[in-house]
Amino acid sequence: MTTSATAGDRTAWRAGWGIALAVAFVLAVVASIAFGSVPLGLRAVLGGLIGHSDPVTRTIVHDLRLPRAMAAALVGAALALSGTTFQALLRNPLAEPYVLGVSGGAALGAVGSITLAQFIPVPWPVPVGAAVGSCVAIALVVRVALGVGPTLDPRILLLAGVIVGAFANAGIFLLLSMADVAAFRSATIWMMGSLSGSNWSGVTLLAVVLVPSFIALLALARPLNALAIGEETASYLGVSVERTKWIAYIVASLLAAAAVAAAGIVGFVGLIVPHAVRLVWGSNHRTLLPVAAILGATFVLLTDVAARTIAAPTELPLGAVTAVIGVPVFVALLRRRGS
Amino acid sequence: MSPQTPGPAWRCERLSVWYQRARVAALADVSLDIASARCTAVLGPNGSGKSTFLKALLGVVEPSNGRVECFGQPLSEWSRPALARTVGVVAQEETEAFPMTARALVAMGRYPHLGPWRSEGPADAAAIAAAMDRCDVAGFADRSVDTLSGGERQRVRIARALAQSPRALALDEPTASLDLAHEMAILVLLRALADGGVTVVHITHHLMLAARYADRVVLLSEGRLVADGPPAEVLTPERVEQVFGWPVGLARTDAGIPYLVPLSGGR
Repeated sequence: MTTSATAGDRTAWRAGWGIALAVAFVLAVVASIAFGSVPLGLRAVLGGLIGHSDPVTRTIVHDLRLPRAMAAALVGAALALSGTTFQALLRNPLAEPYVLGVSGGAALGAVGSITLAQFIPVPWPVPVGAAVGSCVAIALVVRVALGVGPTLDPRILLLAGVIVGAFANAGIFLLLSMADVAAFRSATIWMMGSLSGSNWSGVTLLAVVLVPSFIALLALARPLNALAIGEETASYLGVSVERTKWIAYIVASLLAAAAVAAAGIVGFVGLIVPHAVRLVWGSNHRTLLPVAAILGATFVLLTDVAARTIAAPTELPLGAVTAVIGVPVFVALLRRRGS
Repeated sequence: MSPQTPGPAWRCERLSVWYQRARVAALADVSLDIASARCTAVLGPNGSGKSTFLKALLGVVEPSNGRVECFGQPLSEWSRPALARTVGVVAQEETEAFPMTARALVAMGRYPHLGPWRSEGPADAAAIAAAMDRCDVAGFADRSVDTLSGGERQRVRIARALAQSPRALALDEPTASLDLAHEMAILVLLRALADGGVTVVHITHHLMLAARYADRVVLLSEGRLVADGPPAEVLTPERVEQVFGWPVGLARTDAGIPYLVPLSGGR
């Protein structure tokens, strides 16, 4: 009888947290639209969303706040999904979206675009440079990993990712050493992450990457569960181990690349969100993935609100705020798990 | 239930396995049948090819020569999911990367029946519950596997393999590093499963327990099949001494059960 009581308690506990998370998400979206240089009341937010408002409010909501809120939610979801997947793929709870060099490649592409603009007109925007850089990094990691052996060995993948990231860092330092003051400043600010440049085309791009990735990852949820107990056992359960690892790696990398291209380097979301979700909902990826996406979205929405209101009118770098919140949260999660 | 097929669970014909860059064959010219609905123990010294043999039966090691049939069908013609619905496996090493409950681990055994999308139905829940009852692990269904003892964890893994609703069960040293009571509990369980019609094949280092609980014994040495048959015929003191390189004597318990005893002096 104790068994069923425990299971019932856990179900109630999860349901409670689920409701809390759903409410937090909705509040975060509303807050993200309401807060800013022109604060909007709840009535103005709702009016602006459904079109029953004055033109100024509608412009603020539709052209500025809503794309920013959606970009924040999509970046948060992408980072959380990417981190969850990398942790399963690498069988390492410390893995996060940037562990395999995606952020290094993106930063090199972005910093390259910014510093190159000192000398010649650069025809592509910085996010495109970041996207190309991260894709090159992914390709390099695959190339290195495949050079070692025909199967995708997570340990080799990890080593290749660290090496490609280190190489990209060296490139960034070289570029920064040649940059003028303005380029140096904007490159540094880009690397700290920000959503201030969000627009509808960025949101569309994020959604185009996120939606199919999410479906692909849901299809991988059970295989990822099986991979968590080892590749050999997973194959005895009928899982196509190599195919699972390849799809997981490519999808998680593309999600990280899209997030970095849209918002720069926003750390800690992909690391702490999966841990927090596992504490309440367990390790089943069929639940873990969708809940992590919503918690990641909520977390980035709220940190973005904090980043632009705490020191207004100055906007704080988003990546710094996520880290300032993320580090103590991560320590608390570790202590909780230890007890 | 499908009608009992008269043929063996596995048939190996001149099975050889060479690993890349290895100097000698891991398995050489092994021909034997593994009887269905029986408990077969695979014995041999370290490096004799036991694990390779088991992996060849499971299709994860490709034969360099010869062939393996599983329930009358060449192994190469089995799809992975179909094989996973027929053969449950408890591998030697397994660690959970993340904490999970015993029930969640057992539920993974339904993967070959469900695939990526289908939710657990009543039949799946029944198979999971039956497997957990069978292995006596239902009492800690909601406990995290990493809080269980080695023996309990091993029974949870066997329950997962049983949740696959398999006709055969393959286990690589299922009782390694377990204390006496846990080891006996698992051997009694395997014996009961075989009596219930499941083919059981397991690797073990315990000659005396294999002799007591297995219907048949496969003895390997340096990749070659030394003997294969009922324990009393295969495990003679002379043969064990020759294969394992240590003198043994044959004794009897008060109840008249024969058992092998390693003698104190080496070669």
